[in-house]
Amino acid sequence: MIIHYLRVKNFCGITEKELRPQTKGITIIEGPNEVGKSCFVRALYILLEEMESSVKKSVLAIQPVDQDVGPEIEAEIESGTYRFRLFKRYIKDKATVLTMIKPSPGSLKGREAHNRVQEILGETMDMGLWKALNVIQGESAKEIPTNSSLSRALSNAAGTVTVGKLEQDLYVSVKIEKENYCNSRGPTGEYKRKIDLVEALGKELTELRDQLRRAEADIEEFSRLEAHLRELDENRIELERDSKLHNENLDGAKKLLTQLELAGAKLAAAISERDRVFSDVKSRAEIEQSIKKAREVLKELEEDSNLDTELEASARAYLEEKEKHQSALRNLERARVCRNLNQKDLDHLNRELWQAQLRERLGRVENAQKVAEAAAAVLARHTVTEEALEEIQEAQVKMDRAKGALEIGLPSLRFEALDDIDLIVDESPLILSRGTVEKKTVLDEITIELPGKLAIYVNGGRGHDKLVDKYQKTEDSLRTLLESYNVTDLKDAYLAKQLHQDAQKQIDEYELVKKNDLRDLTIDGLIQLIGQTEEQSKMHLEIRPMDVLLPKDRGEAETLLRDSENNLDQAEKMAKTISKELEKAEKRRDGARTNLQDKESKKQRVDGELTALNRSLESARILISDEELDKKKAHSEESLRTFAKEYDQIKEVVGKLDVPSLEILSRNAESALVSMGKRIDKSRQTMDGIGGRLELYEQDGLSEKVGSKEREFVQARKELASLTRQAEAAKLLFETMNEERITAQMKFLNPLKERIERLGRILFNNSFEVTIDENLNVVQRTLDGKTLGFDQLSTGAKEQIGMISKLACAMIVSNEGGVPLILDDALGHTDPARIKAMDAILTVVSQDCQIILMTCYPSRYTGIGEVLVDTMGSVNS
Amino acid sequence: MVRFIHTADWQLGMKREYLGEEAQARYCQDSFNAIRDLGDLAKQERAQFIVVSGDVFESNFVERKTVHRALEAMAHVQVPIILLPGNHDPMDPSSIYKNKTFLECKPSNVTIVKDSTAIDVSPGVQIIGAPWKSKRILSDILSEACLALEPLPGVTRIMLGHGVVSSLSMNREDPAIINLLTLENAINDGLIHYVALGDRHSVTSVGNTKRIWYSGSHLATDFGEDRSGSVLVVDLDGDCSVQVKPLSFWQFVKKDFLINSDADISTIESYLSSLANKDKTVVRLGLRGTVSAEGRAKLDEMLDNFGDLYASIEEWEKDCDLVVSFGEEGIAALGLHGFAEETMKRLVEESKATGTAGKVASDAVALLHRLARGCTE
Repeated sequence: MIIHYLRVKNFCGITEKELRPQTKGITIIEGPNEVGKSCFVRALYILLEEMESSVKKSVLAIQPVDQDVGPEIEAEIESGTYRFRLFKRYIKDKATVLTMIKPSPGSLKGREAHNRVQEILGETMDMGLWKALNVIQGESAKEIPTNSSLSRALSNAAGTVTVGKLEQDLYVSVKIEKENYCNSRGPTGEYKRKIDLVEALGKELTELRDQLRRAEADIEEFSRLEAHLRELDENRIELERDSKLHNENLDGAKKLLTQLELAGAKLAAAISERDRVFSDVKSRAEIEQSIKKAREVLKELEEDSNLDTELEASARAYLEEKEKHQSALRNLERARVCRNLNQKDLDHLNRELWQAQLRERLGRVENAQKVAEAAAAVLARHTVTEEALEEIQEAQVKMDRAKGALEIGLPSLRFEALDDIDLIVDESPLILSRGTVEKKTVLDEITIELPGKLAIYVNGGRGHDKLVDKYQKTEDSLRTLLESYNVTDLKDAYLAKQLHQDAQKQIDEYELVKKNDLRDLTIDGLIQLIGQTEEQSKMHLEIRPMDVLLPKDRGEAETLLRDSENNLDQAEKMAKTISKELEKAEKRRDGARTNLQDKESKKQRVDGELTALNRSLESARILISDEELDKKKAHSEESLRTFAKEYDQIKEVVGKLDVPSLEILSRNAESALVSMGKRIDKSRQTMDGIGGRLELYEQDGLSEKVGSKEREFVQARKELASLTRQAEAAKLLFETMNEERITAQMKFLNPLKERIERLGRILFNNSFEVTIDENLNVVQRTLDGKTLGFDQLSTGAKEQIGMISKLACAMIVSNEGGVPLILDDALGHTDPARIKAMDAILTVVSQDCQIILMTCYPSRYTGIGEVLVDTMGSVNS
Repeated sequence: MVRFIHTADWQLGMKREYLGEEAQARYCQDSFNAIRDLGDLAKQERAQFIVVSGDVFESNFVERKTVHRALEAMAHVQVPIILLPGNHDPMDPSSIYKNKTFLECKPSNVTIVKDSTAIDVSPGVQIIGAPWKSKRILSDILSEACLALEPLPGVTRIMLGHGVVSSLSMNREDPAIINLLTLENAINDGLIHYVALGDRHSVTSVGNTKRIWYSGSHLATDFGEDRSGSVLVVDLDGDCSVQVKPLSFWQFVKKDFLINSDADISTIESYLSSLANKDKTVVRLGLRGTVSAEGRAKLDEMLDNFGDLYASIEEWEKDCDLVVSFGEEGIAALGLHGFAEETMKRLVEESKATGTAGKVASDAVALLHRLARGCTE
């Protein structure tokens, strides 16, 4: 398409303006902002696309503000073999006029005119591509349509067959068809529903078949159980028969056992009877024997007289021994009396000795008591103990030390007797022999008096008060202490302490005497004891035989006692010996007497027994005579033989029976019968369970359900197979077509790539290369061996490469008739250096294309060679 | 003379998987209708009774409504009906003949052969059957029943059996095979006078006595059956006369076509148009040869249309080898260029391959045709 002429009137802010661009080459429309440069593009689009009656916003917006006029657009265009002039007025006084210039002149109006233009353009150019190639101010860059005439041009350029709308539409249809069945996530739509249905039906069918199999298994199991049950019933009948037989055998055996028991009892009775008869026979013989023996014994006893003689002799001997024994007892009594007296006498003498000792002990205690009482008085008077003496001594030492210190520090008087002299010093006499020396310390003052002759007063002065005070204090302390112990001085204290010690010793000695002499007694007790012994002695003397002299002393008493004890011992021994002899004599006498009595009693007893035996024998013979008894004995023996034989016969039969085994067999048969009953019950229960299930299967119509489900499943599967076949066909078609399309695209992309790179090398350098995708977009740029993604490029580079791409496209489609390239305020991000290169590129492209540049920066395109410049700004009206 | 109707293998409740839901319901209903028709035929032919030699029901576990409808149909019949349990409906623990519904609704004219005890169906006529007691039997129960018989002068004995006779069986090891010789001997010895067999769905006379017959099913059940949908009217009066009487109309047709050009498609169309009772006809087509893409499309459309009329119509894949040919003229007529044209060429080439890949490619070419036509219209 080539724009020969374009005019707008009453269009937005433009009163009227026309443009006559170069048909080949570059036309620049320059002017400041808002002068209306871009209106030409809008006007052209509206003229070619919108009918006069259009009320679209974009159309209504072109009416001048506050002017009641109809915007007019007129253009003369050449496209393919057609050239025409089209006029349209919008909004007010609407009109459309088409004036055909080529190929044959003519004129059309209104809708007809509009439609004819559409037909021409549809036939000769690609509006979509044209719009995509134009750069319109304020509009984002449009993607170049891949199904456009560009594709055809590219195909032609690549030497491939032209791909048109049919192919593009077909591709879309194929893709839609494929996606009707599958998309990237898998099956879709009806196909997926059918797959799901077949799967669900398959599961249901499997479940129903499983149920049917279970039902058939149940039937088989039921039949098996029926057969099994029949078998068990037969077994049970057999077991019942066996059980009955075993029970009968056992009962028979038990009866035989009872018979054996009975025969045994009869046998036992026969034995018992025989034994009883035998016993009777034996008893009768024994009685007869006993009678015989008794008679013999009785005869022997009557004939024996030795025992009488023996009794007389032993009785005499006993009396003699008894006399001797009585005599010995008398001697023994006398010896015992004598010995007792001697003993008491000795005790009496010992008691007297003890009395004397007790009196001595009493005397010692009483004496010690008196000393102790005196010592207690002394102790009360003299309280100076060892500790008190030490205290006094200590006070004395302190005083002596104080005194010493005083004496050293005090004035002193030294009396040296030149001759014997008596003085009074401080009112105390001081007698001095010649040659003696006496020293006196002057405490305060001292008075020395030569009686009747002289009194000397010596004053010690006040220079030693402290020593004096100390001395006086120690002295006071000593004095106080002495007074407290009731002594005058240390010496006196010594004496008092000694007295105290002595008195204490006496008291201690008294305690010792009490301990030794009183022991566990008191003084009164001791006195009482002495009284008691005295009483005993007195009493002994009173009761003692008067005709026997009291021994003179303890020695004689002891000698008498020993003698009497010897006598007593001998008497006792004699009495004992005689007593034993007496006992022997007595025993002999008693034995003889007993023997005689035994003989008599035996005689009586044997006589009695004989009487009893005779009576018993008579009684027995009354009951049964000896002859009858013999017969009875023979009979019992015969009975015994009979019963023994019967018993042996039964026993022999029973011995052949195995009763425990019969019992085991019987019990086992019964047990087996019970067990069989349980097995039968269990089988019946199982059958009942299965029978219940079978009823359910019958009610469900399971088999028919399976049939229905199978039919449903097969139908669905058949439909799915058909869909699958269609899906596979659609998939194969799409995949094949896609592959072919990509292959073709890659082929026809090469001319575009070459054009872009040729133009780009003008702008960049010879290393410039691009990668183009199937949608004709530049996706990578390689420069100086470095490849960057399009998005990684700078804004300027993007703008430049975008422009180059459009120019390359325009160049390619130019052979197909081409489209005018309108660039409105392009290259705003391109630096001046590259602007120049772009100018060169535009110059190159303009050799094949009609290019209309609109700019408010005229200097941007000063590098372009041949150019028509139309300046706007003062053009209005 | 004894006249009775011999039928078998009703298999009531049977489902045909290749039937659609509506056709299946129709088929099912016709299986019951055939029983009523049988009653009418019995009346018309003055038959004294009807014997059904096994497989009355498809299974012991058919739906209750099937039992109800079957018994309702049997109640319509005015002569005694003797039913023999077969391998489909054996007298096992789950037997339908012990079913509560069956027992409660059983018409008085219906008798079940529970064992081989003789049933006096009319004076001087005994029926002795060998019912199946389970789905798998391990002996020739019919021969056993035969061998147990004693001569009974003056009595006509009709044996009912179900299974394969030895002359028709391929499996000699099967213990349940009916020994034909035993039956023939029994007939020759005068112990029995007719053997009414079931299991085989085609009308078949076996042996040389002309007294041993399979009646076939009362309604066609599958392809390849001979005179199924018929019953036998049997006359016994010393001689034996058997008439095959059509009872119902359902047909299972398999037809092969050789297609050399699109013109042959009209032959198929003519054939399908010519068949009567289309709603009771199941058709399997075996298509071989070559057809253009347009011809294939036309064929598909035609089959779709007939599918609305027939009980079932399908191409039997096993017997189909129909190659779709895509000529250069056809391709050119689409006016495809560039990648579309290349796509077409590639797929046409691939469609020449055998097997699934070739079929899928062929389908893809047909699809491309259809879509291209859609784009140009």
